[in-house]
Amino acid sequence: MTDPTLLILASLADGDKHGYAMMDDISRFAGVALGPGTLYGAITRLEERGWIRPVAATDRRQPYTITAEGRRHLAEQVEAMGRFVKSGRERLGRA
Amino acid sequence: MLSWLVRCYPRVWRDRYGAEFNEFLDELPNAGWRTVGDVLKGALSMQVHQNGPSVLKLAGLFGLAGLIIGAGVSLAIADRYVSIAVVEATAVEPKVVAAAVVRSRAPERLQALVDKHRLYPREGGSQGGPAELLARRVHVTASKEFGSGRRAFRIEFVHDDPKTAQLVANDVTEAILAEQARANAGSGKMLSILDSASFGPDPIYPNRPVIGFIGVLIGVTSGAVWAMLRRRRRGVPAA
Repeated sequence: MTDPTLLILASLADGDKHGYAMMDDISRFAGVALGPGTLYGAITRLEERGWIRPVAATDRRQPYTITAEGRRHLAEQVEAMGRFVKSGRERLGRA
Repeated sequence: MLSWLVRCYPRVWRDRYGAEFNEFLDELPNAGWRTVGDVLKGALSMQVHQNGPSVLKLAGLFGLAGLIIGAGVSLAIADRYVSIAVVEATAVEPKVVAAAVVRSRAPERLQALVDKHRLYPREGGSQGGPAELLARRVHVTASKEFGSGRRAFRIEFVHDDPKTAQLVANDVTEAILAEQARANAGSGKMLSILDSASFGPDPIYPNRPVIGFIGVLIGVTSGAVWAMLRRRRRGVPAA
């Protein structure tokens, strides 16, 4: 799973983070190293769709939070992936 | 460098994200070529995403990407130096010269040169091995006659170290002279060195400005073509 928008939503699902913290978190939980251009491209799209929004910063780094709409979208995607994984496992078991 | 690349993003995007993106870039512990490429890719993506594909902007961005890729490629290519020796062959029959050249390139002679100069250590297991590679890199070419029917030939050798190039070219020249002397022993007909193996301090390859220029050219062309194709697909008149 390497879709940067889903990775960012998953990272923000357990708390607000700024760009560097997201990159670090995603690298740890998904093993994916997002480059700066990819990360901020995805942040731009997510904010446009209303799935994340900036929150008040305590320093010069801008943190983001996931919105209810973003959380709903993430849940749908995780659900779909869960069905795919289940189906894939069953089919592999049958092979 | 990275902060400078942020200028490639659309102004609207920079007004909103520029400050925090610069802050984020400053925090990155090690920004290599991959990071530069990713920032450039992001700029390209945002240009298309926010403005639609402007022919000039995309051509410029692709050109810059082509220049960076060209610079990376040209820096990854090792410098090559050439050493050239010129031997006068007026007194010797061409077929004797040709035979001497062939004998000087015998596999055992080439292998001795490889061992002496430690050539191509990474080619040990490749097809033909280092001696075969040396045979392909040593060029002996007949020069045109020069003045009063005099004849000469050139020995050229290219290597990534100028001193080694000179030493090998010199050894190959000496080997040809020795083979010819043996063939014409007692006849008094001898090859003579006109120009000793040269030492070229400047590499003949790669031509970095040309590689960079080709990168820019390919980038600008593909950027412009891409932008125009996208405009046509969207039904936007070309700018």
